[in-house]
Amino acid sequence: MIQFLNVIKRYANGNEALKGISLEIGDGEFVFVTGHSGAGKSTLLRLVALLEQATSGQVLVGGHNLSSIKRAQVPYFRRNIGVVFQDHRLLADRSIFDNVALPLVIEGYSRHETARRVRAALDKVGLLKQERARPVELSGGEQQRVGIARAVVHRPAILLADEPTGNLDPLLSREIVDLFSEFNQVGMTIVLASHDIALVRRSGRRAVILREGEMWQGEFPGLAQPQGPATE
Amino acid sequence: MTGRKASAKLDLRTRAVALAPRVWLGRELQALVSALGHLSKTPLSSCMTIAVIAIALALPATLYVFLENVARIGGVSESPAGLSVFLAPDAGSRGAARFARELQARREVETVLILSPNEALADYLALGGEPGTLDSLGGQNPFPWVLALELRGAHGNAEAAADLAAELNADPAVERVVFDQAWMQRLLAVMALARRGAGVLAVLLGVGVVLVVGNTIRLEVQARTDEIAILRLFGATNSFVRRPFLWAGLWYGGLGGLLALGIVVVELEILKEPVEALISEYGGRFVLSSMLVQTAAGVLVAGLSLGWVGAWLAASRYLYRKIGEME
Repeated sequence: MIQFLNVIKRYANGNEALKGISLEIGDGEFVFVTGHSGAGKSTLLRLVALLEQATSGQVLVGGHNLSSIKRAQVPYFRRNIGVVFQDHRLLADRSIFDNVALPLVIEGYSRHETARRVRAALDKVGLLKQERARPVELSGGEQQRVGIARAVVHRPAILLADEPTGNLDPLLSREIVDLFSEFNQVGMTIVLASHDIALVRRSGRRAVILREGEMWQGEFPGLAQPQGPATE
Repeated sequence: MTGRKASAKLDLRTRAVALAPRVWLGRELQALVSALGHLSKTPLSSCMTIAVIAIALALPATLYVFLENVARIGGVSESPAGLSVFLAPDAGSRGAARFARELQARREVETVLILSPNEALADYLALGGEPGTLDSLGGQNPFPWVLALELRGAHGNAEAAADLAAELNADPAVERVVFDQAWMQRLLAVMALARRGAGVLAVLLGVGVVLVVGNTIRLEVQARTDEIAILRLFGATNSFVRRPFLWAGLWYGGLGGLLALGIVVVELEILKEPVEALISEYGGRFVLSSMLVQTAAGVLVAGLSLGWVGAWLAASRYLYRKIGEME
């Protein structure tokens, strides 16, 4: 589903975020990307979502080479992907319902179908009763769950999560990862970036370890890496 | 939540999916209403923008109404406009009669009076002309055949008369055409100047409206960069992102146009009395009402289109960037 071939990403300021990454993530896989902050985790996700383009090397997503994608195609490509952020990035001036509905409104779903899907997604994350609330009225963990509902409401093939548990306590973090596992079980390919080694280890899933923009082949301190792709 | 079957090849559509008309309409209506909602969140600055647009539109609109009314003076004056058509020297009495019949058949012409060279000579002498002058010309009558036209009411205004005169002048049988009222010709010259001036002014103020709307929308876009980034992240096309800003531009332009109409009506009410006094000196009458529908439509269309263009420029300038420069 996702393939990196010797990918280098250099920013305009000369900073090299990724220094020749090659990896493959299978269809329906749930993979963690871990490493210290600044190791290149976010850049890796941004390349998959086509928020950035590689300086050299190739990024293939769903058989499409992202370096040859036309600008007019980018919006349609992104509709196949859901993204969750550490700071959830909800729109403060809209209700929970409207926030979650956003991807469906963009795709032009009917009002009826939109409502049905939004409620299903909110139900899934346990926030159906809060649909009229504004984001500020919710706790951090609840806001993150709204962000997740928004990321999956349009049933994307790929779900990218950048430090989704960064601001949450261990218990809430585990709940979030469990939620992702449920989406993974119905076929969604998931890439979750986290610096939380304990969380990654507890999941028992395959982890890609980055260190200063390079793939780290050895054991990460305190991390036992399961061998082979963990397909559920 | 059931996940989409994750195929090896992602479903990549390059063209917009056609929406059902009802969905499309609902989406536009929703954007229309929410754009107004956004405007009302900052009432003071919105009102100021609308007022600036209104003033910029009202000025050329007032000039337009004014000029159009002045152009009609001839048509409603007590003595309708007349033209004297001097025929070429070789035109005989038959030619003159035939030409007179042709003119009489035209819609704009009320009456045609044929004046023969002999009648003209008699008039000349009766008015105290010097018979000796004729002798120096070898005893020949120098006067041509003349057709005196009186124009019909609605076609008797200065402009219609000028159009007819130009057409007749092009006829080889015609030597020249003279306006019976000299002031009308001077008025036409002044009008031509005023029209061009008003045109230049309208263009400048139109550009001003585009810039004012553009600047307002630019600030709006800047205030909503987070929202735009999220929209783009979830696959919004440029036209989707632009839509609410275009509606906002239409609101600004439309409301500015309405306010401009109000300004024009008040202005004309204030100017009416002195202008009527002035025009009655020329035997004319000031007609406002017949202009109102035309002016109203023009001002509104101008406001809407200029607002739309301003918004489009401001929003698009922000959208067309390379991947990675935006989010």
